[in-house]
Amino acid sequence: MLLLRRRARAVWSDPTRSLRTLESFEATEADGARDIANAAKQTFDPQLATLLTHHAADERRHAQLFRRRANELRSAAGNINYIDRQGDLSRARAQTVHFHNTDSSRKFNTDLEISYLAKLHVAEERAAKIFEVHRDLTKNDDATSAIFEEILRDEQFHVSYTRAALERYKKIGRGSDVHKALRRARGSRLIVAWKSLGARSGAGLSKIILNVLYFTIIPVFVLFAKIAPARKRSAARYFINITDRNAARSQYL
Amino acid sequence: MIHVLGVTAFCEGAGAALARDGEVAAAIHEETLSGRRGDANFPKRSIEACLRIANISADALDGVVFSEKPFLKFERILQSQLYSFPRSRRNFSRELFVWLGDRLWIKGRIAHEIGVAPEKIFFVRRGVAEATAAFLTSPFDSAAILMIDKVAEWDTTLLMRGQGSAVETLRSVTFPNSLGFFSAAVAKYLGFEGEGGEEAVAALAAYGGSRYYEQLKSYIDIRADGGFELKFTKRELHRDAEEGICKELSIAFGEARRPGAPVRIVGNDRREADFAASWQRLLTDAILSLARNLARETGDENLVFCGTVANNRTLGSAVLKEENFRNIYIPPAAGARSAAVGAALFGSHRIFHIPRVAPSAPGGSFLELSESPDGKLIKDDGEIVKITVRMLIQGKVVGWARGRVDWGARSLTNRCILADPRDCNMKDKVNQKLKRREAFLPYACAVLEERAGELLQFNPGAVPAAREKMMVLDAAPGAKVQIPAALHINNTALALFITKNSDPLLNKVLEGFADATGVPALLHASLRLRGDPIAATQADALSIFERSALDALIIENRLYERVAAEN
Repeated sequence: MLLLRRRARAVWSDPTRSLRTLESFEATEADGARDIANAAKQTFDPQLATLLTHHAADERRHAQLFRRRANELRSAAGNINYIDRQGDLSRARAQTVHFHNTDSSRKFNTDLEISYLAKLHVAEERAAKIFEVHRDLTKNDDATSAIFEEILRDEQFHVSYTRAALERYKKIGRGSDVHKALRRARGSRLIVAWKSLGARSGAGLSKIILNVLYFTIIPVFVLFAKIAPARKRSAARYFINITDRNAARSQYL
Repeated sequence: MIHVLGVTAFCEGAGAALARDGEVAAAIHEETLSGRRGDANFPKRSIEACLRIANISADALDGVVFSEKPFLKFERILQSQLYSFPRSRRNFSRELFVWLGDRLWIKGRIAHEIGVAPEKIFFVRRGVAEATAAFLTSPFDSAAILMIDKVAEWDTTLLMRGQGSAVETLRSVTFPNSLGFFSAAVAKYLGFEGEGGEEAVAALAAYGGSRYYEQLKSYIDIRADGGFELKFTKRELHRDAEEGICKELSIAFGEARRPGAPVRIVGNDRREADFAASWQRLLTDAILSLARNLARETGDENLVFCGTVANNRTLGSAVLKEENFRNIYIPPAAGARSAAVGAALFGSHRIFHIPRVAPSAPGGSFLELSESPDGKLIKDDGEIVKITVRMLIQGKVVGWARGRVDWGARSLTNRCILADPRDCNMKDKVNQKLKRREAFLPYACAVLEERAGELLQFNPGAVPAAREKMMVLDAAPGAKVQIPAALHINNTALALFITKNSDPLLNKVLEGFADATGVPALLHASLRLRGDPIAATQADALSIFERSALDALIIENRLYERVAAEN
């Protein structure tokens, strides 16, 4: 939690990172909404289906709130540098962070439902903690803080109804399955955090290596570039017979 | 049937387009689906949406064409890093991280994300894709093509010829000589950032005089053959062209205007207006020089003008006035926004040899009609026309959302706002109710094409571009009394010509309004809020209605009207 606070503090002091964080939250909530909406169709329990549908609608609304705030900040700040986003190198991180319920074609049996509810409960608990930290750190930005406040109220409901659903399974003698599922869900988040750390470390190390290359290898090529005669680029060079499929497959010519 | 998917990514206007037998079946920008204006990510959502609209799976695709030659672009980036050493140290690690980690492997990524075999993946230069899109969606069988952009791989300006289904490059200007970057830098210097920056500069120019013209002219050498060379520090151009130019302008002309700071357009000190006017004059000189040479080389009477610089919609009129060309077409989706369509059409015609068909307006259909009981059901189109005309005459600002999302950053008629242009305060009302733009920016004027001559003065050659809302025209005498809200300070109007064929329903509304008031025109704007992309779905449109003070919104055949609160 301390680490999260430190990182969150760094986020809100940097306009680009603030914007990226809001967009990342938006994507997470939107993905969550789709996932939960699918789960609502998979359960046989009508009461749970209603709650999951309501939950999905909340997530969609949260995504919209984050999107709007991000758009407001972007308009106010002017052109945020998109180079990092365009690389989309956090794909690896994004894919490992979410526990997507990928096979939405089949109905839940009891084991699957317990497993899904446990993952959802743990995810909502975690989300509530994260949003609480962000709410506290954005107290000098009323608009952003208000969004986190609103979402926190919903997250608290999500935590409590998923807990209640798991309690129902405990009462019908599936207590040990529920505990196992919760343990697995919490454990899998550690693996996700580990993978995320790996992706970030890799990015950091790459940047160090590239900086070293810049000051050691690149100057040699700079020298060549300065002494070589400037080449005139003519349009003819690039007019290849463009009906040739092989030429069209080329990423250069 | 031959299905070709065009993809643009990693720039504003990222999106996808699908061509079926040479005709555009669907085209969507990623921002439309993600809700993030200027979304530059790999357009996975757009691709899925295109396949869904065309009702095919990825297996049925015959080809996927990416609108960039990545290795060629990487060559330019590397060379720029070398030329700007050691000032490029910050950019170097960031750029290489992105390129080595992701961009150079785009072929594999496309194959993986879409699920197509690598042999089906092709690449086309960005400039060629933009020119192809512009030419093949134009009404011309042959035309000269002028493409001016910031930079694609190496090309910043392309002089081309289009014939049938092919485009041929005649000459090009390469990086770092870029009118696109110069234009964007001027917009940044004047405090207008983002996609609408150049338009804002063009509008601001009408308020000023060209007292900085000679000084600005020293930064560009326009040659007799139409080529040009920028006279800024080469190292800065290679490091970051837009920022480098802006910095040099700040040194030469004084501090740049902060976004949001007051714009000086009246009184003795009209610095920003004068700078904009000076730049507009210089840019026009450069464009006219290019156009003259292109006309001489091709001998064609038709011109297709595309690229981000074509967003400056006063340039088309200037070209026509010189009479080097008789007809001009400017596509509504300028710059990289058109590249996905261009890539799809390039693949269809040049790789799969499908003959050219009549131009079709690309767009994706996303309006999801919900069963919401809130909107009042309108029984038929006739009733929609009556209600809309009634509300407009009452002075209300009415939003329309129907059918396919228009292709491009601006909406034409499917996602629009309409208002009465006879009220000289209407521009301010629309601004206050929802657009919140700078006060000097004009709105467009939707006008019945058959009666446009009553309000506007124009060369018949301007009609193709005016149908796409890409032409600023001079107002006719008397227009100032009839449509004051739609005119700019210099008595010009950004026109959108409407015909029975282009939009039957809006045509009827204009006819109804004309019958009631004698004025065959309406104030027109896109249905979107500042900073947001155009409303795509019903939910987006309703969200705009809730967050603004729009008086009424008609979504397909449902009316949402704002009711005054009872005291």
